[in-house]
Amino acid sequence: MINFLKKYLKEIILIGSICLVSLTLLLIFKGKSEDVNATIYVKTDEGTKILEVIDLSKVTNSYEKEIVINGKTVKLEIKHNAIRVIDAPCKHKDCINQGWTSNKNKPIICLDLGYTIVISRADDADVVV
Amino acid sequence: MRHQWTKRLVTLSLLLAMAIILGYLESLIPSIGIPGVKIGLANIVILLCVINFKWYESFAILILRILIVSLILGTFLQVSFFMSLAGGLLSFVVMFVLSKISNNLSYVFISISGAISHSIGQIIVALIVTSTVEVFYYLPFILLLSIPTGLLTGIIANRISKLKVMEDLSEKE
Repeated sequence: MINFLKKYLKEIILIGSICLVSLTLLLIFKGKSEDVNATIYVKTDEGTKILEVIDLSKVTNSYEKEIVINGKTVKLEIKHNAIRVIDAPCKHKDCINQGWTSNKNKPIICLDLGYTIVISRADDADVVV
Repeated sequence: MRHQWTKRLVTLSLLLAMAIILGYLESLIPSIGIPGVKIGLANIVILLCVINFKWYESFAILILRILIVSLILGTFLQVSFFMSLAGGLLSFVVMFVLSKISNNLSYVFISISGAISHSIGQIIVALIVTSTVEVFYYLPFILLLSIPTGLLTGIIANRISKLKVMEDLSEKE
């Protein structure tokens, strides 16, 4: 055991550091129970703008909604405190594979169409780079 | 001399072919829900080249692999191409620097470092594309996933490096 630790000390330190940094970042980014808004950001020629803000806390029954992003239709499913993409014309369908999100730690990002769905608190300031 | 050069060229060509095949096969594996996260099988070849060949040879394999796979998949000059390029370049620089600063660093160490830097490169491109800082929320998950992927590619590359053909052609001989 000691020989194993000595032999792979550098690797163990590296892996431990990565775990520590990741856990620290998770704590910093930790969402709060007040995260209730789904903000849809869209990248356009004029820059990034907010397409829509949906108050998820007021949703009682789940429903589907279509939004148009840069001329393409994306279908969302919205339920109480959660949202997901169920259909999109992008190539990789990463946004669909991400499934439900109800936490700001897990924004839905579609690089092909250039939109992001972020869960935030009702009083969060918009952060756009 | 000429025989050795020909042997080296053929080996590099075979490594490039392997990198392309691994890159293509990887694209068939569905993502696990976090955009851009892959096992990184093609990086096995890049890691071997960085450590065992000259920097311009391994750089050429990296660029050609990214270019050819993007052409095969039809993603050339699209977002995923730039993500792959940014991640690949940053990973290459980090792995190259680590391999040169110390001979005592293992394949696993360099591979995990490469995997982390690859992910960071992709996050930077995602930040530029979406212009929203929320892409950083994926960073902890991507860093944690870099550990098993880097470990796997590092172990495989280490085993391959012990093959006779790699020892014959290694720059370190």
